[in-house]
Amino acid sequence: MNVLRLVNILSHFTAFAIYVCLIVFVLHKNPKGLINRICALTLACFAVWGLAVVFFHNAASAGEAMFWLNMASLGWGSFPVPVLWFYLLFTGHDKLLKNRLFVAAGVLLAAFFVRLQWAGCLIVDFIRQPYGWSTVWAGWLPMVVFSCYYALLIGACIFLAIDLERKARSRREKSQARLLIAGPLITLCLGSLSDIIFPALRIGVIPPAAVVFILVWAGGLGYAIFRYGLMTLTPAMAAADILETMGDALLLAKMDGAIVSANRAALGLLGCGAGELTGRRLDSVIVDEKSGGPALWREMSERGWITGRDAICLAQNGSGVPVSLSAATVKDKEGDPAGVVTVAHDMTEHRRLELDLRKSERKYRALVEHALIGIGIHQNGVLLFANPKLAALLGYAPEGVVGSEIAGMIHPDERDFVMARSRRRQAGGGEPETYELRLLKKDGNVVHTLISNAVIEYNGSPATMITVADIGDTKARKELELANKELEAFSYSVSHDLRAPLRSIDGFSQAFLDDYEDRMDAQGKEYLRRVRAASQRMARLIDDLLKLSRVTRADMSYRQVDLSAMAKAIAGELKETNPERAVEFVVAEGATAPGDASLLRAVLENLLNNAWKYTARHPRARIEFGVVEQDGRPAYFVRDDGAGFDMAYAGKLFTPFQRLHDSAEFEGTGIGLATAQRIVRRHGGRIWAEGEVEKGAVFYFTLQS
Amino acid sequence: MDKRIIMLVEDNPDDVDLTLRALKKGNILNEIVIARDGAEALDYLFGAGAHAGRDLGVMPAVILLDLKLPKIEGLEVLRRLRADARTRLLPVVVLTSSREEQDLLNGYASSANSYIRKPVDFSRFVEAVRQLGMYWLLLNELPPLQRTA
Repeated sequence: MNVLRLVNILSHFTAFAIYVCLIVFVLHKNPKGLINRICALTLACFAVWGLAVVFFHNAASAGEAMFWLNMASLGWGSFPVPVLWFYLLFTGHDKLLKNRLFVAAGVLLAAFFVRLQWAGCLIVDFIRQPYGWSTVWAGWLPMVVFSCYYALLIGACIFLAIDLERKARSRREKSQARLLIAGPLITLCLGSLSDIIFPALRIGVIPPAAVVFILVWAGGLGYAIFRYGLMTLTPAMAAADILETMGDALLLAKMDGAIVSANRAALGLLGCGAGELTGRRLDSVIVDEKSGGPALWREMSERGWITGRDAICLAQNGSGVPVSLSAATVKDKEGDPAGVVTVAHDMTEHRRLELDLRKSERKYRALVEHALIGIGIHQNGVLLFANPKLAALLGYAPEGVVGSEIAGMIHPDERDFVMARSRRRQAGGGEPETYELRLLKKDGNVVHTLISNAVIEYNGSPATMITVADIGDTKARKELELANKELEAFSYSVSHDLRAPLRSIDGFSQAFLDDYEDRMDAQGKEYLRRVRAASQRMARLIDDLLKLSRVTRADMSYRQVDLSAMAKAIAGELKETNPERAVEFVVAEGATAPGDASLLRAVLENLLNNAWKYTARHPRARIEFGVVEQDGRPAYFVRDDGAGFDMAYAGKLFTPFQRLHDSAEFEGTGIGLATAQRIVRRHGGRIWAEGEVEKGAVFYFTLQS
Repeated sequence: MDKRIIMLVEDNPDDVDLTLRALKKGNILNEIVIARDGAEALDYLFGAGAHAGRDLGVMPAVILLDLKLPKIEGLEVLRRLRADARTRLLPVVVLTSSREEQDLLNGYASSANSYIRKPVDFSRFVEAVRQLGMYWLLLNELPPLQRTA
């Protein structure tokens, strides 16, 4: 055996041994990891290939050589497939490997080329050489096909590795990727030369030794695994990665302040390139925010650490970046100070937000302070905040009102009612948010306000924010008051002056009747009786008209009103007026509503009087008061089974002096329902009626829309 | 017939006639002094103007006072009567036309001794005046001033 052959055989055997070691190493690192297993499979291809080639070169005859080359083809015919799988896994394309079709296609492809060799379609002959055997390809075509096969797959691997390198964030990842590019590239060139191109050109000087060249690649993988922890994740690796990629700037310095290393964020913050910081002094790039000097570093060296200090990073371009700085000395194994680790958090955005917030706060504060309406917040019945206008409106000094009980500021007539409503609103009840309210000033005077409530969160629990407008002195209100005064004067005048002539007509008619009775016939007396009846009816009309106008003007005092009790009382009074009538009153229990008691009584009186009146012609009657739900709100109703009305005239019911029955049939002035309507409207509700001739009528009304 | 006179302060001649008639119908036959406006009423009561030198020892047993009067209106007349020691205790019955006027009167409730609303129905007016006259002229004790006079 000559030396060349010995070297050749030994190198292939060594390659085989290294591959076996690498397989053990990779599987030992993590026997269950898919990437480790695929890597081991790839290495197994190389090992089989290497071992078979040992025997191939040692073969005594061409026939024996053919047998070992066919054995080797198990490796060289199939290796590009597991190699591609490995690269796919490594570059994070593991989804593809979960696709069975893709895996099966790879296996088939590898088997196809092994089979081609075994069928005698690839390498067909051998030439005896001093180092063993050189190979002879079946022809250009099979050679090109095989070359395309492995070149394409390995090319894909290189492409994947380049892509990984481009996207890699840490230096470790980049180094790994580069190793994975260089390995196959070198192998591809050398292996193609030795195993394809030289044999094709019938140059037999160099043995087909691709599997040895592949050692470079495999060695690279081994190095990557050893040096950079490829295919394993260790805390130290993670820490290095985190330090490199973290958002905060990290600087390591020696005890004398000379910077040893800086992470990417530090370089970015200071506007430096890699390495530019090394050797510079910490106190020349980071200074105390207030003094602009190295005060904080003196403090650091005295105390051993500082944390959350406001500092300025002096960037390369001369600008200063505000940071929050923490630093500490680190000690070596012997416990001696070894260096300084510094973490700086960029505060630029934080400062900007803080400034924006402060500006916004100033803006809203000014808005609230100068608002023309009172604004306040109360919680658990106590006023916690009041703007100057609210304090002024309630007659307090600007700060004097905070801490006062809300209940004491509400007019006694409305206090319980409003407080109950406020509690229900905070509990999530759909209570009205805006309404008129009489408040009490510090000196006890009443102030008419329009108040709007909103439930908000304040100091972590529900509170009510109020906006209060003084409507007592608004222009419109003054005008209304003036108009009311004029109307009062007018009413007074009407009541006095319009009635006086009626008194004369009635009085002198009576005098005429009394004094000239004996000189008048029955017809004459009848005429005078009619004159008197007409004047008395007109007096009633005047009275009712005045009543109607009073309803519109009367001050309202809100409280919870028991409508059921009121209806029962009125029913009792009606029964007393005509005890002989057979009328059954049915009054629903528990109907209460917020409103003005005397006005609501007027509504019920009018409605129940009506029912009483229009059932008078029926021998038996039933009058009902109750509540139904209408659009989610209570609608109160009075139902009777009396004369009813034609729905065609329903619109006329509530017009003053409009009557659907003539006075001879049912007496009345036609003002009762108009009065009821005005009262209901003043309570923010509406009134409507349903009826049918001789079947009865129902009058509904709601309060507070 | 005693000296108990009734004073009627009323500007509407129809109302004067009807009131006189109502009093007559109620069999109240006392002497009746009529004033057509507030000023005239005060002149009579304080012995001024056309009534200067009148014997102020003679005062009406009751004054029927309308509220809406020319020159000086009813409430002002009432206020002045109550402000003067000589007339402070004179019984005054206010004649009103409406509830509006009664509301007005509420502010002076303590100063008027009583009020009646002039109903349009004459027969009811007669009845009201009759009861009123009976009360003030027959049942009510006269104020001390008259008794000593």
